[in-house]
Order: sequence, then C-alpha cells, then structure tokens
Amino acid sequence: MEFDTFRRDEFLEKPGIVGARWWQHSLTAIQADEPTRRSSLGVILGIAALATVGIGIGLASSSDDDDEAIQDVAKTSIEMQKAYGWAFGAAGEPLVFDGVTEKPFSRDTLAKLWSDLAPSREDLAPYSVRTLLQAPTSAPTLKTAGDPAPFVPLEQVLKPMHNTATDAAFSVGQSLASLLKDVRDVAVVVDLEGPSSVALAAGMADDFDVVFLLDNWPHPRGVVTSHEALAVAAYYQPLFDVARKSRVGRKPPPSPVFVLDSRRLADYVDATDRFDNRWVARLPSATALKKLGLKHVLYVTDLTREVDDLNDDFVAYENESIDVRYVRPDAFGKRPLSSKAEGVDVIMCYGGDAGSHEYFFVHYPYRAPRGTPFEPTRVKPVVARYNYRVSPRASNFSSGSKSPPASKPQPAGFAVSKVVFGKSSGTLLGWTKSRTGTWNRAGGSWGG
Amino acid sequence: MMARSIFAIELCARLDPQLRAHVHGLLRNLPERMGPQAKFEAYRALAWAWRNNLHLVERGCWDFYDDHDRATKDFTMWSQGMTTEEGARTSPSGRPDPYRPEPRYMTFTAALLLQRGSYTERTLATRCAVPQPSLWMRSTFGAMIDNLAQINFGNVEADVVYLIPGDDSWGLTVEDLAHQKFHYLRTVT
Repeated sequence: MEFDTFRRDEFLEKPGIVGARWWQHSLTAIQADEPTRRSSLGVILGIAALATVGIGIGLASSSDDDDEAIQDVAKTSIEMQKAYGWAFGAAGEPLVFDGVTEKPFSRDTLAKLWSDLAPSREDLAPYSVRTLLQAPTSAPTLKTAGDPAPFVPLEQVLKPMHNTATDAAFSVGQSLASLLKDVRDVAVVVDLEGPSSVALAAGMADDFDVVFLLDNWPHPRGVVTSHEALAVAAYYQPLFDVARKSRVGRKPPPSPVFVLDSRRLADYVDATDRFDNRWVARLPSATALKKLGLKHVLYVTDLTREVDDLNDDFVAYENESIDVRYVRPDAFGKRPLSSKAEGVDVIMCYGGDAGSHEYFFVHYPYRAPRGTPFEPTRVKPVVARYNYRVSPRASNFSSGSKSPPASKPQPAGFAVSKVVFGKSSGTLLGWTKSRTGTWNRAGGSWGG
Repeated sequence: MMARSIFAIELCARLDPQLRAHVHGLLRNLPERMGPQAKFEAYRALAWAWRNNLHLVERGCWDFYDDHDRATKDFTMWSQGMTTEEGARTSPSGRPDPYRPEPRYMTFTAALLLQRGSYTERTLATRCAVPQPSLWMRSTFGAMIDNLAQINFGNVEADVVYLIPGDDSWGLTVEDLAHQKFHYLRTVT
C-alpha cells in the first residue's frame, strides 16, 4: 500500500501540446525523518487492531496491547509464493503484458512449458533452473488467514506475448547462432531484459542447447517483471519444443546458451509497496564449464558491464583460462536487401551488412573469418564491447577479489518479504503491504 | 534541503498518429495524485511506447547533471517548455500525409528532479556516463529511454512530461524545427 505522494500542479491539454508536472513535496521530509521499522510497525499494529475489532476475522488476540496482537517477520519471497501462491498478498491484481498475441494459444500446453524448454543434453540438465518455468501450474499449499482473495493459477492469467523488441532479439539470436553454430567451445550467456533474453535464446534454439536460469516467480507487484519473460517463453514454446527435439542426440552436441534476466537485481527500496522477487544468477563454475569442453564465454548484454552478481563468476572463469568476451545486441543490424555474401542468409548481420557478418571473428577470434569480410563502420569497441575485459569489482553481489570465494555475497534483506503473524495464534495473516488482507484493509485512510 | 540531480530527455520523431495518440492517451490518463508505484508504471508504459518506436526518432537530447543548482535551474527550464508552450505551434500545420513530401514531427519531453545520492540517482549517473562519440547514437537514446522505465520514484521530487502536439494536425514542420529554439536537438546517428 502506498501514499499518493505526488501532486499535480500543472496540466495542459491543447492542440499544440499536452503535458503535466507533479511534485512530491513530502520527499524532503520523508528523507529527513525516515520512519523507523518500529514506527512503521506501529501503523500496521494500529490497523490490525481495528481489523480485529471491526471485522472480527477471529484473531486470537485477547490483549488490549497492540504489540501483543501481531508481529512482522522477514521471509524469503519465493518460499512465501510457493506456499501461499504466486500472487501472495496481491491476489486479484492484474499482470500487465507489454506485447501482443497473434497466434492461437492452448493453456493446457503451459503444463509442459518446463519440459519443452529443458536442455536436450543430459550433462547440461543439472545447471538449468526450472523455477520460473514451473510457476504457471503451481498451486499453493497454504492459505493466509487474513487474505480473503481466491487463488487464481498463473496459467489462467498468463498471455503469450511478443513485441518489436523481442522480434528484434529473436533475429539477433538467429544471427549469432549462424556465426557460432560450428564453434563448439563457446558458451553464450544472454543477459538482456527477460523478454529479450528469452527471444534471443529462441532465435538460437535450432543450434544451441538452451539452459534457462530464471530463478523467481512473477508477482503482480514484483520488482522483477518476470511474467513478461514467461509470456515470451509461452509465445515461443512450440518453437523451443521442436528445436529441442531436433537437438537430442546430435553429434557433436550443441553448445549451451544460458538465459538470464538483467533486471534480476533491479533497483528497489523497501519503502515502496513492491514485492521483492529479485534473484541472483547461478552459472556453472569454471570447472564445470571445462568439463563440458567449453573454453570461451560470450556474454550478450546491453549494459556497460556485467551485472554485479556475475563479476565473481567471470573473474573465476578468467582465472581458469576461460576467456569472457562481451557483445551488445546492437552490434547486429538489419542488413540492406542489396547486401549479399556467400553463406549469409540471416536478417540481422554483424555490422548490419552481409559483407561484414564474418568480421565478427576478427573481433571475436573463435575461428578464422570466412571470405574477406569488410570492417563494419558502425561496430566500434564502445558499441560492441568486444574489447571489454572483466576485472574484480566489489559490490553488494561480488567480492571484488581476484580469487573469488565459492559463494557470492548477498546483502541482508535481499529477496525477502515482510509478513505478519498473529502473535497469539501463530497464524500467518498476510504480506505487510497487502491491499486485500482484512487485517490490513480496515485502516481505510492509511493506504492508497 | 537535500541536493538534487536532474535527468531529462527530449525525443523528436516523425509524427506517427498511432504513436502520438497512444502517448497522448497515457499522459491524459495520469491522475492528479499518484504514488511512486503508479509513477513507475506510467513511465514504464511511456518508455515502452518509445522503445518500440525508436526508429521514428530523428533528433533528440538528454541530460544528466548532479549539480544541485544546475539541476533545479534546468528543471525550471524544462518545465517552462511546457507552461509557456514555447515549442508548440500557435496554429495548425495540417495533418501528416504519407503521400506529401513534407513530414510532420512530434516531440516528447520528460524531466525528473532526483534526490542526489539515492540509489536510483547514482544508478542513473552510472548509466549516463556515456563516451562523447556515443552521446547521440540511437542505441544511447534507447538506453536513456530504458532509464525512464527503471526509476524508483520514491527518490524523485518532481517530474514534468509533455508531448507536442496534442492534435495530429498541429505537428511540427521542418521549418519549425529549424528555428533557433530547437537548436539544442541533436541529430540521432
């Protein structure tokens, strides 16, 4: 629940211009007088007391002392979702999909989303993470005492989606696969925004074994809008399924493409009413990559450097002589119709021209370039990131050590949700930020 | 009073009636009172609209300053771009006609006054540290639009957002954009 702290002071809607301005005058005051956890709890306690008296949901509170009524406890978000449902504390709130569906869709197929999108290589299976892909058909095992909203399975509200961004990412994936399909010792790590990552992997799926590492569940108020990645996965599910079947038993085995969502550590403060469904990437270790016969990692990102939680992994790879290179998706561009080169039949090409496509291997010397490609004018180091090399960097999610520890650092309070228990009954009432819980809703003037 | 920073972006694109109507609708529907989450969602929708139509953008500019005086002064300047209707036409220019050689243009502007030192502001500072040769590249504008979708409005003191024109037949012409008042708009490369 949040306060409507922004006030509009200007609004124009004329033929020449339309716009508005808002001020959040309370910002300075809020920042200067940050509410303590204790005072916040006091607000909740007061509301909960009203709920107990006014609505009578049966809290086992016999005391007049509000402090005795409830207590809030931090719990891992994903555990709460698995136990109480994917929309824990926000049941009934809609998911927003930024895309369109243009194909018939059977919800029944979502039940096998995970198996359709699983890697075909048995030796890659241990590294795949099925958390997100299994969310659509999951059912809660428990119910919160204070939340009356009925549970609706995710599969009932999920819509397949694609948009211009994912269409472009798919074409980049096809292009990248056309270059790397004959190179057997390169692992690709795709780390774009979830929908684009999934789409890019779909574009590579004919030639690469796709290993999903998406390790959270969607939530109506999730910090990470992972339902969008799931929606794109549903859109490409038939393609993934066919491609997977075609890869089974292939010799030599296809190289892996690991799929991440770059928003997994998204900016978040607990003061908002959002659900902390962030997560940390779990890539195979350097030893594991070597065992799989991989000598190179190509990191596909549109950021200026790797996401913090990968820094230790990449430093460890380099320590074990697995080189890590970076490439931006916009190093690939739609080629003009007039541009032709032997063996190049993809829509997007490295450098935006069929004649520069093989120049990829000048920048990334995994093999010798074929023919005599010309140097693409638009692919400069700052664009492609081909000359970027990882170096140890300390952050909330990386040690900064040249010899990173096996376990990554993680800040306190990461990916947890505060939930409210009835102190006397020991019953879980709901999420502290729930808009629907009767224990919370009684304070009508408190929330927005 | 805490120090402020500013992040601002202006996009100048070929007037696409569908995009203009969509952005107009998003702006019109923004309520008078909003919370940080609603703000986040509104800007995310605006960012998506522009991200999916980045190919239409021909000119633009973006700024990030973490100098308090500059930030507050610039926010006033960006606000005045709306309140004085400086960039808007005073008469119709005619509806965009795909068969007519003279194109029509639209501009979209957003400026945010941020709490300096907050995580959002520091993240923006990092993301806006773009090398000089890349400042006006299309991909950079794409990244700046992405920034709009990732703001924590708990750390935003004020925001102003506007679209020119409010009606398809009031689009900006090539002559309008040649005026001195639009010289700050750079060609997107």
